[in-house]
Amino acid sequence: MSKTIDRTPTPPWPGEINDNHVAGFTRRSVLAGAAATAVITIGADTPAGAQPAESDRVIFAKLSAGLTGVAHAKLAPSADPIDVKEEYFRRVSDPKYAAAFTALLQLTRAANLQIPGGDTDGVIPQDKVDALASKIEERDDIKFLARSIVLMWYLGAWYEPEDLKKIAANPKAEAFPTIISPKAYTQGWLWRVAQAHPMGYSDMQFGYWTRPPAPPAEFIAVVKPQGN
Amino acid sequence: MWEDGEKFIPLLDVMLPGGAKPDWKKRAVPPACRAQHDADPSLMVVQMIEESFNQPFRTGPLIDQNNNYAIFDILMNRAMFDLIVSDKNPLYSRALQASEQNANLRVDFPSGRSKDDPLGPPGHGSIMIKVSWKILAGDDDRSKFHHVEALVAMPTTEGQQMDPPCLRKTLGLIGFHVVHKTQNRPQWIWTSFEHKDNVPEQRDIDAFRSNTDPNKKGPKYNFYTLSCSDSDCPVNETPPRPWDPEPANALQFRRNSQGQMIFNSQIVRTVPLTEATHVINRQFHGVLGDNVWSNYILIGTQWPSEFICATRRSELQGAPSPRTDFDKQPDMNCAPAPTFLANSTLETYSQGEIPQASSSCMGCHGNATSYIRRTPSLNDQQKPAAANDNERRRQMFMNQSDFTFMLEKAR
Repeated sequence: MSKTIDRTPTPPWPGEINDNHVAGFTRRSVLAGAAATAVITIGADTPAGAQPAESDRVIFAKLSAGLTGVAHAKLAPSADPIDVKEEYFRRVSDPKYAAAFTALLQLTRAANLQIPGGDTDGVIPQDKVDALASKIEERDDIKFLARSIVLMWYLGAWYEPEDLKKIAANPKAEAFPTIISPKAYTQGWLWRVAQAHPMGYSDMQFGYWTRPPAPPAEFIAVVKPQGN
Repeated sequence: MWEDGEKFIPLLDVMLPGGAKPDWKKRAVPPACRAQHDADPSLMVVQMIEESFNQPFRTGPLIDQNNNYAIFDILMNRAMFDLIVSDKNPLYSRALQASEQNANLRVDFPSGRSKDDPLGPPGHGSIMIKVSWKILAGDDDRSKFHHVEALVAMPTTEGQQMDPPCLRKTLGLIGFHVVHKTQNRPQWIWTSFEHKDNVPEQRDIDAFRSNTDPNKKGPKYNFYTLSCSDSDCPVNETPPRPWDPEPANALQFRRNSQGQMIFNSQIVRTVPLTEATHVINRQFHGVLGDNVWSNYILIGTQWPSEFICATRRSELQGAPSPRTDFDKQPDMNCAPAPTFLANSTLETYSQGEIPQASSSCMGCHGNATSYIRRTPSLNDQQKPAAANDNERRRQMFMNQSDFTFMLEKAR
């Protein structure tokens, strides 16, 4: 029997346009006018003091952008048809890590990381990340969970925080990571930092192998087109 | 519609035998069809080649419940045609594509512009269409299909001594892609539609099977039989080989020695339509009312979702408008959304969500190339070192054909 695709709805990431969502506020529903009387206003006309608290997903995205050094717009674009971030968020939300993850999110909220906009490269400034990192490192459970998150984004694999702690104490200790999913494998940032692509998967243009790769910034930062 | 020949021309009327120059107003009528066509020039002519019955990457034909092959065709609009037949860079034959005249050519089909666009004259830009037809026969209700009277020239088979037969058929539309290049989406916008009765989703099958009414009757699908079990009718399987239609069978799939049918396609839509797509279909059907087009549904639209990426243009000085042919790294498709899109009649056997295997319009078409060659003086061993960025860009050999495989079909 042919396997069909599960369309279990996932909560939308705030501000996201996702054609794959069952939730009502989607690009299609906007075009169809179905959302005409159900517009969700986020921020524009709302007094600053009345802004709703950022959700855990939003904070997780900021944390990930800060720790990986990849532009937030690359990790969590407003239109995200691939949506690997949801997989990663669910992995970290495992009850086994609840205490550490909750604490990590609280530290990130308190750090109030801002996403650079305008003509910047969209990468959170290092000094802001360093300030957050110094807080993270005060507790082992949070520190090693943060490392697991970084490795997850870069490698598409999950390294248990406990294993990373053992390796930190003994470099000869072994870890046994698990590939999170085929999608996670193809979306590993390691490959993009290397200006390359995973084995068996490439979004690159035909003939790319005959030309030098684009600069690293094209892969991991926001680079505005010139001369348009 | 496109059948009237006013706004679209079939690919095979552009890429003519021997690389002959096409004429927008002339249609190639195969010899076997000439007598019937002369008697009734209003008949649409479909010349069949392998791609007319065998899906992309030779993944297999589609056989309906009446044992007929589904037929596929590709058309382009005037904007695309004019670029292909231009005197400056003609592309309608292999020899011309590979000629010195076209060496290092950057293929860049025109983009659609609105009338308010200050950068160029308004116009639709480039549009290409791929269609799938069902031969209407038996108890098919013609009123439910957009249908045309046609002459179908069967494909030539190897070793064949005579012209393949030309068959008079009534063709019912069962699916079509509309692909449009726009100014802000030079990766094109890929939309697909199907007849609403083509195939079920798994939940439709489950609902039917869980209904215990002994008199239950489910809907009649074009490519699925509800009463047939999974063991008797394996789902999404290709027909047994060989696949080529045999002239003696007149576009019917072959039968066994007792004259019994041996295979009908049993197709299920693997990726369900989203709720948002259902909503938009209901809304447009409400607008269409009692019209044959209410029997058709949107499957989805794949569009390049990364805006900054999609707005990039060539930085090569003097690059021809719309300047969309350049070194597109790292993602030349600019994050297609949805990632995968398949029409159950046109990409039947590549439905799914497996990266680089399942159907993605841009994922596949982004790799389209042509017979265009690099300027000999720019071969690696001979080219001088680029003095600046612009010279480096100029020396770059792209060999991409702007998301269309049409140029590869030149003869």
